[in-house]
Amino acid sequence: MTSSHTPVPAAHAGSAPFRLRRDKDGTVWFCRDGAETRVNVHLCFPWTQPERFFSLRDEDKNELALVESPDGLDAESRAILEAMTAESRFVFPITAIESADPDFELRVWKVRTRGGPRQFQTKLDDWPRPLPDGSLLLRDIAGDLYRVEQPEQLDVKSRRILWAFMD
Amino acid sequence: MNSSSSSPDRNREIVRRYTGQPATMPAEIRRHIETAWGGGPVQLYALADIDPALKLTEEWVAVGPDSLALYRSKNDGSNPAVRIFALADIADAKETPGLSCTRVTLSNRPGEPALAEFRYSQRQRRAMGALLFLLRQRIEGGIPGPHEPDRLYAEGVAKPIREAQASVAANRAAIAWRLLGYLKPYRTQVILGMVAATVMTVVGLVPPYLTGYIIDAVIRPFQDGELSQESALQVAFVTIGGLAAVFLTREAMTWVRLRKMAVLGEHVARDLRNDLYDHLHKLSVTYFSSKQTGSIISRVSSDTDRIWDFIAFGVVEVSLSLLMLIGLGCVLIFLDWQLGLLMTLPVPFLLYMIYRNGRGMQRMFLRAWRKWSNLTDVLSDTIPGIRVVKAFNQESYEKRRFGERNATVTDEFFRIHHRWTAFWPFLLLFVHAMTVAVWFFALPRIVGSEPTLTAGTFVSFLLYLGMFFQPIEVFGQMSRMLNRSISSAHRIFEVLDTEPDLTDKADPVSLERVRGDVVFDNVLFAYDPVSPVLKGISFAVKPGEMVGLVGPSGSGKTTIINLIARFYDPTGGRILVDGHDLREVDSGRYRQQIGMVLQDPYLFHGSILDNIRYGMQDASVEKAVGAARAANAHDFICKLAHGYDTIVGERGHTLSGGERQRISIARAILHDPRILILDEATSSVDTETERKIQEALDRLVSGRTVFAIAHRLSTLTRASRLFVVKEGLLVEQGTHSELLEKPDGVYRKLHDMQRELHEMYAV
Ligand SMILES: Nc1ncnc2c1ncn2[C@@H]1O[C@H](COP(=O)(O)OP(=O)(O)OP(=O)(O)O)[C@@H](O)[C@H]1O
Ligand SMILES: [Mg+2]
Repeated sequence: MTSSHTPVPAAHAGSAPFRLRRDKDGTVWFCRDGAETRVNVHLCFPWTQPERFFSLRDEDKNELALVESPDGLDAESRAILEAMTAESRFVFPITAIESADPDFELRVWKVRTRGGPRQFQTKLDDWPRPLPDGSLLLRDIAGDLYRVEQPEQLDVKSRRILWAFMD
Repeated sequence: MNSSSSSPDRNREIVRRYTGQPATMPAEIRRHIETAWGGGPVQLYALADIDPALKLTEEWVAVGPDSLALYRSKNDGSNPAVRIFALADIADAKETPGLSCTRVTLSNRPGEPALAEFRYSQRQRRAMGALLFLLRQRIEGGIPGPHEPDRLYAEGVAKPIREAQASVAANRAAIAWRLLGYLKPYRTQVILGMVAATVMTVVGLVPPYLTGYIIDAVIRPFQDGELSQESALQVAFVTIGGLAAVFLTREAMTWVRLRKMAVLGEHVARDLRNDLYDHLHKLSVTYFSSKQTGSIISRVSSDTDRIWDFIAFGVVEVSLSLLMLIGLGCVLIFLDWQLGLLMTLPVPFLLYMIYRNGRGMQRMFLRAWRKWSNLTDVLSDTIPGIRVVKAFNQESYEKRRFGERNATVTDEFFRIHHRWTAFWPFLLLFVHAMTVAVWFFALPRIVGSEPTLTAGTFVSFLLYLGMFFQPIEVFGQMSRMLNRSISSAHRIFEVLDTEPDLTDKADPVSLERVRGDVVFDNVLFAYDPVSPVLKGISFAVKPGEMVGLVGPSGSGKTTIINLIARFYDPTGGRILVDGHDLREVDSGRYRQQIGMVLQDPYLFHGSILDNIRYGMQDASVEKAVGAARAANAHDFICKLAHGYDTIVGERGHTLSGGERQRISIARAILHDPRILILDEATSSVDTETERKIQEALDRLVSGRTVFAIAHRLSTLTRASRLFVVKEGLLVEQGTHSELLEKPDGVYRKLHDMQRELHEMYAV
């Protein structure tokens, strides 16, 4: 393949105004120029910028619009977008760490989250990842994500445990 | 077929121990659900563990013969505990995946409010996937398979943990015990070594005692004039002789002990290595594709090596140090109970301090380890990617990045050094405080008006005091070593405990000469239970036929030949070779008669000749050269400076893809297989080379059953029949021209597309 075959979009996908509409059954429709399309949201930066850069795509995953910030949308569309992404960007918010002890090949974390206590495992050499906003992101072996929002605000014991995992 | 499916109990144990969620659906909940939907059994279930407010919850989702149930075990009263939905009412189960929370919406008709919603975390993904798969099959009216709800649920939840750890959920003591079991064949050696070690330790307690004795029984009485010079010397010489004998015994015992245990350690390490390697060869390819090569290799090499430490030093050293401490305590209390207690009572405290220090150090090591891997990450990033670094002129950025990380890791090392350099003098201070205390309490008793302690006893005490420190230090050092050896042992046992999932029957049919009659009878296959890869394939191939397999990427072609070679067993249906079910034949004898040329052929480290003769080590050189000629490889081999003796493989001469393919074709020709499998044997080579390989193959295919996979359809012109595979189904079969006649056939489409491409790019 040569580069001249790469399709170039005629106009920037996000340029024309649009709005979102939600059905009784929960389906969300993307309305622009009188046409309506079923729409799904993909987060471009699910870890670092979960509140910005939403890629709205139709059922075949073609991009309909790229929302850099929801501020430019009308109130209803913004609320719909917020509701659509609240779950998909959800990660377990850790409020306290009870222990993080090594087991064979695994580190077993016992934590409290805002939704209740949970136990999970990471690989021994898998380290929590510091994010630009100062929070700490952990990913367990099943793929679930956990976030310590403000590590320095945790209780003494949690901070003692986290000390080895933070800069 | 999956290695984890053989041990449902272990999966349940893992779920219980590591996830804190129930390992099976509680019986009363199951009963409750079955009553609620009118009697049928729960066929599959999974846990939805997140509620609409994104809090953790426990909601069971179960599928039965004609209903789906949602059962909330932690009920807040907003919904009835159990809700039942008729499968007939469910038209769609839509998943909205998220980072950690996936929502499932069950709906009846588009435009109407959803019937129900539930949410689950990634941990439940596999179990839930199996359930939704079954649900969708039901919605589409498919036939249900066999149902083992408990097994599938526990297997699904435990899988990520087993992939990371794959272990016997055992504890440290059990592992150490099992490791010691490997000493059994060497029982006498062990006893000898241990006896020598014990004697060595006990004898070591004698010299300080003799010193005290000499002072009290010889020197003092002589100086006080109570003993004649003659008898004093006599006793002195006997004592000197005794001392010499003690040291002699001690050193002899040390020699026996070190030698026995060091050799024993090697014995055990060798036994483990052999066991491991033998066992690895019993495991199927499934095991190897689920593990990293490096991790398997290190189990056989470095992990077994650490076991040597454990046997040669760990076991002995720790038990001896314990013995030594107890011995010292007894001797001291026996010599003088007051001073004895003064010295032995603080020992547990000392040990505790060492333990505490170790814990604190562990956190520091962890931190240093993390920073260290940050540093090595830079290396493993930039060195393979050095060309990109240079192309973007990022040398100074990379140097700075490395320098910064190097500095932070060094800071951590400084912290560690500060800690231990402060700790040991502190500990010594404590020990010396004990010494001072002994002086403080002992001297008034020696020089009092009525002395209750002799000078000799006092001196012995001081000498014993010096001996206290060493075993305590050993405890400090050994705990890390022991921990590491136990972890190594764990990794080794983990492999040994993996049950082979493809085993031959007790008395298999031995196919002495395969005719090459291959029949697939409605074969189903899945690498993991959720997504079937082959969905019912049937065909019959006669001996000597050449069959071409074509189809889009990922359609299941390689899977079909993997099944023919019996790398896996089918999950449903059967495969017959010469009328025998493959599960009943002797797989060793059978595989000897199969030749495979793979897309990315593997050459072992060794000469080209060794590689051609792999599996036929006793073939003559003439035959090997003949095979190379037939494979069109002879020419390029002779052009190499070292000819057939050129060393190839990982650390040897690098051959191009086409050259490697021709060598592996030569290997197959020499092998003279009855069934030949060619998986894209001519994929990434130029047309000239392809023509050469093609000629070689043409020579090879005659007189045997051949399965050939090719993306370039032109390669398959010789095939007597073509099978078109698409999404796990055999959608078309026939000769090239028959297939072209179907106006909108899959083959025809592929063919037209390739011709167009060819015309577009051919110059
Ligand atoms: N070891 C494995 N474990 C799990 N899934 C696998 C494994 N090997 C293959 N698959 C999956 O099975 C499906 C069929 O794979 P297969 O290798 O048979 O395809 P193929 O027809 O040979 O494709 P290609 O033309 O690209 O070689 C693919 O979806 C693939 O992802
Ligand atoms: Mg393939």
